[in-house]
Formats: sequence, structure tokens, C-alpha cells
Amino acid sequence: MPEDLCPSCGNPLSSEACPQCAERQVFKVIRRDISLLALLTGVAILTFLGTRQLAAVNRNFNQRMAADEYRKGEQKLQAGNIHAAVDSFRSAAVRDQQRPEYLLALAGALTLDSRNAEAIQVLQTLRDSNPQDARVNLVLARATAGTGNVTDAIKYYQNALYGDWPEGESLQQRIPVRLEFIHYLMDHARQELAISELVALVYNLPGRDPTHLDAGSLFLKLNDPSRALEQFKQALRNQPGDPDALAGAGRAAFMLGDYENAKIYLQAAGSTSAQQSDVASLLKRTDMILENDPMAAHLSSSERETRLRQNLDYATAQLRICGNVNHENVANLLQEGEAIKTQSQKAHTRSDIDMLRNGIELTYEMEQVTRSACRLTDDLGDALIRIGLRHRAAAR
Amino acid sequence: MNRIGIFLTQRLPYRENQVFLTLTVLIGVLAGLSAVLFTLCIQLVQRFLFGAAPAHLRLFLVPPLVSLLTGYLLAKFFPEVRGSGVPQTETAYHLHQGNIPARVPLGKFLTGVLCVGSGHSMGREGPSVQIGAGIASLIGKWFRLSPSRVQNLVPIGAAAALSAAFNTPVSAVLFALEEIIGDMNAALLGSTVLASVSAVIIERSILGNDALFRVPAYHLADPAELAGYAILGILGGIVSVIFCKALLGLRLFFLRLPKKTEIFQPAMGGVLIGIILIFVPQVMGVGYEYVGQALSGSLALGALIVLCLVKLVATVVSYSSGNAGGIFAPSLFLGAMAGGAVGTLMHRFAPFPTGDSGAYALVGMGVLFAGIIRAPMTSVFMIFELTQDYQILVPLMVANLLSFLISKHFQPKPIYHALLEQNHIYLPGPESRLPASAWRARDLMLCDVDFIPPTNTAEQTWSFARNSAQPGFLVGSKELLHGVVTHDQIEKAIASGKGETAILSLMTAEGWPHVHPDHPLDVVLERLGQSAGILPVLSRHGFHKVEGVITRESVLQVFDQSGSDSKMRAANNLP
Repeated sequence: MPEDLCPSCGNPLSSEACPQCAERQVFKVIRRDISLLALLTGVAILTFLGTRQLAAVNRNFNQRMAADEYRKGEQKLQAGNIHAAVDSFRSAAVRDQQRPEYLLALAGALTLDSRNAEAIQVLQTLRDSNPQDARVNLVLARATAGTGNVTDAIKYYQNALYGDWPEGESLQQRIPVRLEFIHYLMDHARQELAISELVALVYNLPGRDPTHLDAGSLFLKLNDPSRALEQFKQALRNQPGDPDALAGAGRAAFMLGDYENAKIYLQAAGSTSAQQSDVASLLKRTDMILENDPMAAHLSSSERETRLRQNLDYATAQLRICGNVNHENVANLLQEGEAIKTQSQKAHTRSDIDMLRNGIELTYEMEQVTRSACRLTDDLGDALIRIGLRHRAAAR
Repeated sequence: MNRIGIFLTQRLPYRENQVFLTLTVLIGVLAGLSAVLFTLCIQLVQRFLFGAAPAHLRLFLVPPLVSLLTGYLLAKFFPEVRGSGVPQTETAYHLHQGNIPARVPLGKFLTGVLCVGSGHSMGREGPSVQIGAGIASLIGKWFRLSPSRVQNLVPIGAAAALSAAFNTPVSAVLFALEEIIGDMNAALLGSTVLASVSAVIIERSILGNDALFRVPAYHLADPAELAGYAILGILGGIVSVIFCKALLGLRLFFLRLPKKTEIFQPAMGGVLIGIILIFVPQVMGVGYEYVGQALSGSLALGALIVLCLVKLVATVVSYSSGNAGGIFAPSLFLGAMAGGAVGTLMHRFAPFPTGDSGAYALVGMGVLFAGIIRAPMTSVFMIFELTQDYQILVPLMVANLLSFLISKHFQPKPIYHALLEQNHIYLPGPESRLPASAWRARDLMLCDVDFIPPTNTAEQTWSFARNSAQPGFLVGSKELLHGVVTHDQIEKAIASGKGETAILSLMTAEGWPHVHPDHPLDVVLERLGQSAGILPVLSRHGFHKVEGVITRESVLQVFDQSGSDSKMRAANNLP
């Protein structure tokens, strides 16, 4: 190709003799550089746009496939085919990495498949990117619980409770999580922590929430009948006549020694309660207590004394059956029993309240000795102990 | 000439520097785009050829049928693009001054997409490197840069492409320096980093910020666990050696087949791959999905072992039969499976607490990379970059070092170099790449030095000097050098009747050329030229203290000896 000539001097442009030549040569090189750079920049921009479009198409396809796999996974999970569900969720998670719920579903399915270590690995990755994600912490808690690591499981449950839930779902999600957590704590003998979580649960519970019934049952299991009764009462306010709430309230009142109210609740629960036989049994015990309590309301003096004597007769007989036991107080108790019986037979005009109290206390002690020394126990014996306990508490 | 003209004319000599810097960014962008496009095209082709749930017949037929087409293209149009692309890039850099023909990146893109997309067990990183390097070379030539500049653009393009393909910018830079240039101290570091960063920005702006793998949280459960990683390193070294030997052996077999079978060789490999895919479809293509599963501990021990063995066989077959694709990804796949297997066994049987199998799979990736690719620094930083966790460094280095040493012992030639040598291409070794300035005066000097006592007369000195071939002598002692007297000076003094003159008075007062032990070769040669043929080497701790002497003969003697550096040091009892 012939070299360009300078219009000023007619020499080739590369000639160094002519300043115009040199200048033209410089401009030519620079023009060429700029043109090429502009061309390459244009190519880069076009390629970028084209590649981005292609990537978007690819991404959309992958997202559709992932959503499809996710749906299949959920169906398989519902059908109980956990292993196949794991594969589907995994495929969804690989195809669309933008959706953490796919990984979450995968981890959940792995947990159900008892592949807890694997689930934990998946979840740790998610947790690293968002440690406050309550849903991740919840599934992580379940998976960790499956490995037997109670300390970490409690930590993750607490993170789930106090973590970030999706907008608007916070309260609705926290309630079942807290209930699950409380059950987990009770199963692992962390009663104190369970009670504090239960108190926190009912504190934040809306008045109309059906969870009051569950909370009452949990308080009962945790031997807190007073809080349990409150929850059952709230449940009854929300749904009057609910047999389960009535049964729960009856049981709580029974545990509190409020046998009159227990009877009312239990009678109301009646045959409609799911725990029909339990309710009937408890009602029978409640009746026995009320029918044998010498201090029960609306009794005449003679009725009170009769009840007292009958109770003492029964306790004395029980103690005598248990007579081979060498208890240092047995003789004293029997002697005292006889004395009170004699005293009650003489007092025909009006009940001596102290005598009644002493008699109830003596009956209680006799039954306690019988129970502890001979392990003799029956419904009436249990009722006499409860009568004693009730009046001890009242005296205090 | 106007002012602008004058200014531009003055700036013209610096044009290359400015253009080079601009091109570094532009090449980073274009190479990054090419790598992303390559990845996307592989996925699209694979989806097109296999669909979502391919039947057995499809799995069996696709690889050989597509390989017939790629075999034809490779044999007729693009013979330079078979295999990985990394060795070809090294060849272009070291032997062809960075000159890569325009058809190479185009051919590599086309055949790479078809080969990897049709299910051959190969990686996309090697081809991306060759495509990126090819683009860089082309652009350099379009801008009519000097050959050395074009040569320098090649590793820049390679690093950028690798950075976008693997999403690890730092290890891409290290790979370019360690593997392609072969010099970790190369002056191209800044440009390579710039291109690599540009490429990864482009890649992330298109594909998003998702990591290539969901890497498990790493922790060393017990210091004794290092023993487990050492076992992994040893196993990784053994697997690396088996892979390299099998690959080189089978490739030699294919190379020895008649030339006319060249078109059909990829299809021959394709038939075997088709059969393998029917039974183990997990080894199809790049296989990062299953690497991810190994990292999350989702694969059972049996699956890990089977996938490791079958992937090894499939990659050896795919590569040896002359398809276009790399061994970068397969080495990571093998490492993840081998690591996962060791991790599972450790978890079951180790008498001390151990991490999850995913952590071993992660370290295993680095281990196999160190053993097969033989780029130890890249292997460490690559895994470190994936995890971004300092805790992994010690076990990773322990395991990688063991794997590297075992692999080097049984397979002295790195795989890329050995593959090139099968094509009768011999890349310069580290010695050849050593710059002249790496030679120091201490490497060239003789320590056994004869001194002339300063009290000697010219006559006394002559009686000693006339039988010596040395051009000059040092006057003084090892602890106190007075100067240098030449053979000619003594001879002239005797001839002019000054035989009884003290030798000190013959010496010039202006000083004499000398060097210090740390002076580089070019300074030594320059000063030796200024001297009378004898150059004292003086200590830095005492200007008149002599450490040795350099003569023309001593320099030549050093270069005459093979491996002269170490031998010279040994002869002179130098550390």
C-alpha cells in the first residue's frame, strides 16, 4: 500500500524533515487510536447489552424451572415422599440462587429426612448472609434440635423469636414458634425457661387469640395452675362453653384446691369434652372431696361432726391396716383420733371449729403416714389428704 | 506547527503507555464479556441438546454426534484450539511474542461451547483464558503496539477472562502471573489487577453477585484435624498423579493414531462419554452443581467415590480425544469429591472432633488444583477467596503442599508443559525466564584471591606476575585492599628501569573499578569493561575488605557450567 504523502512538501508522511508532515503523522496516529477506541467501546457496550439480555433470558428460564421444581417438591413433601422432595428443592435452589426460600425448603425437607447435619450446612450458609432471618434460625433450630445439641437449638429458637420476620407476619409467626420452643424446652427439662417463655407468650397474646387454651394446658403441665386458670378463663370468654377450656379450668381449679369451682367447670365440660374419661374421673374425685369435707358450706353441725368422725374412722382403719409399721407417732395419732371422736360425740349443740380443724389435720396426718409408710392409697384417702391441704392453706 | 501539534508531537513517544493503560481496562471488559457469554452459551447449548430430563438414548447420542461436527471444525479450521487453551496461551506468550491469530478466540468459543455443551467432561475456564488472551492479542495488534506490548497484553486478557469465568479476581491475577508468565514478580501486576477487576465488575453486573458455590462455614474442630487434612493432601497428590499420567498416556495414544483419524477422534471420545453419561450423568460438562452438593455435604460416601473415579475417567477421555475444553473445573470437581470422601471418613472414624465433610471438599478442591495444575499460590488463594476465611489457610497450605510435592515427585513436568511437549513444543523453564539482573556479583566471583604485598617492589612483583595469566593483581591483603595493579603497568615499570620502585607508587590515584557482592550482572559487566580485566568485589561492611575477584574468565566459567548458580556457590562455600 503506498504511503500517504504530505500535501505541503510531497514527501512521505513519515519524513521528519517537514514539521507539517510530522504534525499530520501525529494527528493520523491519534485519530486512528481514538477511532479504534471508540469502535471497541461501542462493541463492548453492544456486547454488554446483548450478553445482559441473554443472561436475563437464561435467568428467567432458570427461575421458571426453579419455581416448577419448588412446586413439585412441595407436592412430594405433602405426599410424604421426603427424599424426592429434597431432590426437587435442591434443584430449585441450584437453578435460582436469588430465592432463599428454596434453600429454606430444602433445609426443612432435609430435617424431616433426619439429615440434620446436611440441613445445618445449608442453613449456616443462609444464616451467614442474614443472621437475623427468623425463618432461617427457626429451621436451623429444628435441625440442631435433631442433632441433640440443646444449647445451640435454644440459641437458634431464641434468634428465631427475636429475629426479623417478613413484614406483617411477625406476631402470627412468633406465637406458634414460641409454643414449639416451649414444648422443646419442656421435653428437655428446662422448666424455668419454659415458664418464662410461656409468660412472655401470654403477655403478647391478643385477647381473642385461640392460643390461650394451649397456654393454659402448658401452664398446667408446668405446675402453674393459677396462670393456667387465667388462660382457660380467657379461652372461655373467647369461646363460652368450650369443653376443653372447661375441662382445663376444672383441672386448674382442682389443683388450686378450689373444688367447688372445679366441680362446676367439670360438670359443664361433661360428656362433650375430648378427655371425657379424665373429666369424669376428676369430677368423681372432686365430688368425693366436697362430700367428705367437714368444713363444707351449708352443713349442719351434726353433719360436719358425722363427716369428721367418718373420716377419722376411715383414716384410723387405714392406719391400723398399716399397723405393722413401726411409726413412732402411730400410737399418738390413734389416741388423738379417739379423743377427737369422743369429743365430737359430746358436742351436740354447736360445732367446735377448733375441733373440726384439729380433726381434719389429724386425718391428714394419718393418711400421710399411711401413704408414706405403706404406700396405701385410694380415692378417699387422696380426698382426705386434699381436704387437709385445703384447710391448711386456708388457715395460712 | 500549532501549539497542540507541538504538544502532541512531544507526547507521541508516550502514546504506547497511555494506550496500553486504556486497553488494559477495555480488554478487561471485553475478555470479561467473552467469558460470561461463553458460560451462558454453554448453558443454552446444553439445555438445547439435552433438555430438562434427557432420555438414555439422547445422553448416548449427543456427545458423539456433536463431536463429529467439532472434530471437523477442529481438524479443518481451528487446529490450535484443541484442549484447554492455557498451554496455547503460554506458548503464545513465551514463544510467539503474544501473537494469537484472530481465528483462535473465535474457534475456541465455537468449539468450546459445542464440546462442553454436548456433555464432555471439561471445564470452561481454560477456553475462557485462551479466548481472553486472543482478544487481547488482537486488540494489541490492531493498535499497532510494539511486539513486547502485545506480549504483555496476553496475560492481562487471560487474567480478565479467568476472573470473569471463575469469579475470583485475585486468584485470576495470581494464575496469570504464576502459570502464564511464570514469574510472581512480573511488572505486569498492576495492569493485570486492573483488567481482572474490570472483568469481574462486568461479570457481576450481568450475572449478579451470587458466588459460584455456596461455601460452608469453615472451622477447624480440633488441632488434630490437621492430620486429616494431611491425609487429604497425600490422597490428592496420588489422584493428581493418576489423572496426569492417565491423561498424558491416553492423549499420546490418540496422537499416535493415523492423521486421517483426527476428524473422528473427538467423536471416539464422545462415544465413551455417551456410555458414561447413561450411567453417571452427573459428570456431564463442568459439573459445578455437584461440586456445590459435595460442599454442602449432601453426597453420600459411595456417591463421592464413584463421582471422583468416573469424572477422572470421563475427563481423561474427553480431553485426550482432542475436544476443546479445560481441566481447571474437572480438577476442582475431583478435589471436591475426594475431599468430601476423606471428610466423611474422618467424621465417622476419627477419634477427635472433626469439621463437616463440606470443609474437606473445599480444601480438596485446592489440593487437586495444586496437584494437577501445579500452581500452588493460586490454589491457596482461590480457596481463600471462595471462603474469605483466614481459618482455612493453615489446613489448606498443609494439604496443598503435600499434594504438590507428591505430584511433582511422580510427575516432574507440570501438566500443561507436558501436554505441550507431546506436541513438540518446549516452553522455556524458570531458568530461561530468569532476568539477567538475577545474577549477582557474588555468584560470579572467585573467592580464592592472590594478593601482592604493598611493600613489594615492581621487580619482586614481576617475578610473580610474568608466569601468571591474570591481567592484574590486587595489592594489599584480604582485610585491606590498596588497589589494583595491572600486568602492563608492572611490565612498563620494569622496562623503564623502575624495577625497584614500590608497587604502591605504580597504582593510579583516581581509584579503580570495583563492585559489591549484591551488584547485578549488568553492572558487573559494565565495570569489568572499565577495568583492566580484574574487578575486586568489596564488602559492604568495609570498603577495603575483599570478598572475591571477578575476571572475564571467571564470568565465562560460571556460564559454562550447567546449573552454574548453585555450583558456583558450592565451589565458593557460599551460603
